[in-house]
Amino acid sequence: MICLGCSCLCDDIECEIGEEIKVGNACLRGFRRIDSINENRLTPRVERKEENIDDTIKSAAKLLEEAKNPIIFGPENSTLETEKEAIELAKKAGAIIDNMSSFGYSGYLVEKIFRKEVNTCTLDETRDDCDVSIYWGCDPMSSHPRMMSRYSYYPRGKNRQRGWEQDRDAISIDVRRSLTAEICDKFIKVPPGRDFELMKAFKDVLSGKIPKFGDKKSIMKIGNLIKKAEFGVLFTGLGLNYSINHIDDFIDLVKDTGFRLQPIIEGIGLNKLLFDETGHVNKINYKDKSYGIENNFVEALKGDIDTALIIGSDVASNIPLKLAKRLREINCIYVGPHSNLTSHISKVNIPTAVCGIESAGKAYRMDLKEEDLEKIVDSNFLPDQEILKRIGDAL
Amino acid sequence: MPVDLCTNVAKDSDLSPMGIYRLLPQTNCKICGETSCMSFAFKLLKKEITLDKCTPLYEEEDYEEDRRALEEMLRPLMEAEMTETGLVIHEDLCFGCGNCVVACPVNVAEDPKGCAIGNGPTSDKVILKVENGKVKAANVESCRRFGEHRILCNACITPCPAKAIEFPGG
Ligand code: SF4
Ligand code: SF4
Ligand code: SF4
Ligand code: SF4
Repeated sequence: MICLGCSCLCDDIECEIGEEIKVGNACLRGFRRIDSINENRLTPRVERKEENIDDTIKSAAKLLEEAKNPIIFGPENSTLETEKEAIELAKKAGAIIDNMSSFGYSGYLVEKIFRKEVNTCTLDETRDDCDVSIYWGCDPMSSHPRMMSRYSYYPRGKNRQRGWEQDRDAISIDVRRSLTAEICDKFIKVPPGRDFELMKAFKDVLSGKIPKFGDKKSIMKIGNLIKKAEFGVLFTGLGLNYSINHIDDFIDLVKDTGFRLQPIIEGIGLNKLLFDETGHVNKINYKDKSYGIENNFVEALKGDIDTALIIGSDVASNIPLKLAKRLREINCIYVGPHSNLTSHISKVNIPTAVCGIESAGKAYRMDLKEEDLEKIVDSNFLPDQEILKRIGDAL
Repeated sequence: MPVDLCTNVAKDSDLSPMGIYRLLPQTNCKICGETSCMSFAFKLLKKEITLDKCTPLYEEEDYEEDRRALEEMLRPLMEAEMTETGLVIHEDLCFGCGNCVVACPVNVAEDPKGCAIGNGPTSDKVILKVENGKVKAANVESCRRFGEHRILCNACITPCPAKAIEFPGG
């Protein structure tokens, strides 16, 4: 089966769900996702009162209908079908639609990639050819535990037969010694907000100048490694958020190095669907078809949003407390398989099946490889795409 | 300039014969039944003897601090599962990333279409495999650290970000 625990979408998972749950090859995060199908499931509720699912759908539709400024957020790990329904719903409700990619620069970088302004590659190409990988402001060992073992560092690839020991170098650049930094051959610790200086230092090395930042010898050494790379891949994450104010210079650096860019991101399916329709990957307001920073979930919450529909994303745990409180004040609808902080502060809770286990569909891996998700077990829960469709029909 | 550049090297764990020996009384009094403190340390690591056999550690006040440090140091060993060849997996630390599975040279040699290219094992002959999110060991007799032509293989230790694999016997 395919694991939907993160956007690696590992396709080698062995899974037996009987009296006991047995899972082979999935990392702990993936195993827990499967193991949790009998735990902590969301109950259909309106204003904390248990209701049947039809009534929760009606309540959600009513809230969206009455809303002046609604927003739809998520999903993180779901199917393309669900993502399509989320967009349809945003159109019908005249809502903003956004997802995690607008926190930080991931969405921006993904848009550049979709526009073909920056090179990228697939994870399979990374496995077969990558000789130097850089992890800048990201910690895949924590967020995407099998990415380095399956693709970027440890496996033997078609043209990297000697694997990580001799054929590959891995460089971590981060504000702290992350788990990824722990296993990379090289680690550069950069104080918050100073990535730009390191970037300039690399540019200097690339153009044959002496870098003016940090320990010159080490920077030269890593700079030259980057320069000599035959097939370099640069992974980025949310860490770029608080440290690079010069994102376009960053893109220039990527171009200068000839590296391929791979933002580590969840929910890229929604980004792609939105891009194909509007030319942008997130922050779209379907009320007036506008695009802009004011449509970012956090900015919108600070503004005059009155209703939020959140799909399978515990966003309340990822935003400052003040904003989470604001989320509690407005009309919030949570659609997802499990209860969490976001469902807890929502006025309407609509439970769904766990996709890829209790419901089928298609999904994109972070590099846009399409995978078919199977349904492994029967359950009484409706797939999230169906819930969204029914809310839309009731509008 | 506060830029810190580190080249990572595998770190020796304190949970080694020498690490233990340093905290023992080092008097070679033989009360434990061993010929020396060093051989006591070796047996401790192999779980063939328990710390309480060194009674001086418990009786003399001077050793109290060392004893506590030893107890702390040995705790994971007592809790961990040790295979008959000395490979220790700390299941509480492992999060199933599979780095060791893909890096182990025996896994690679036995399973060119699975582990070698980053996938889960497709052969029964591999040593390391992830089950229910934690790595499990099998076929330990084929581990490169054992047998006649043993070598000091580190290929499963170095890539583990969680330091979940150890060979405390050295
Ligand atoms: S790395 Fe991601 S997709 Fe792969 S098993 Fe772990 S959680 Fe699932
Ligand atoms: S009893 Fe303790 S001090 Fe005496 S030899 Fe054994 S380990 Fe050393
Ligand atoms: S020591 Fe080497 S051969 Fe033995 S399990 Fe670890 S990686 Fe495999
Ligand atoms: S490398 Fe470490 S954390 Fe990863 S599977 Fe192996 S023992 Fe577990």
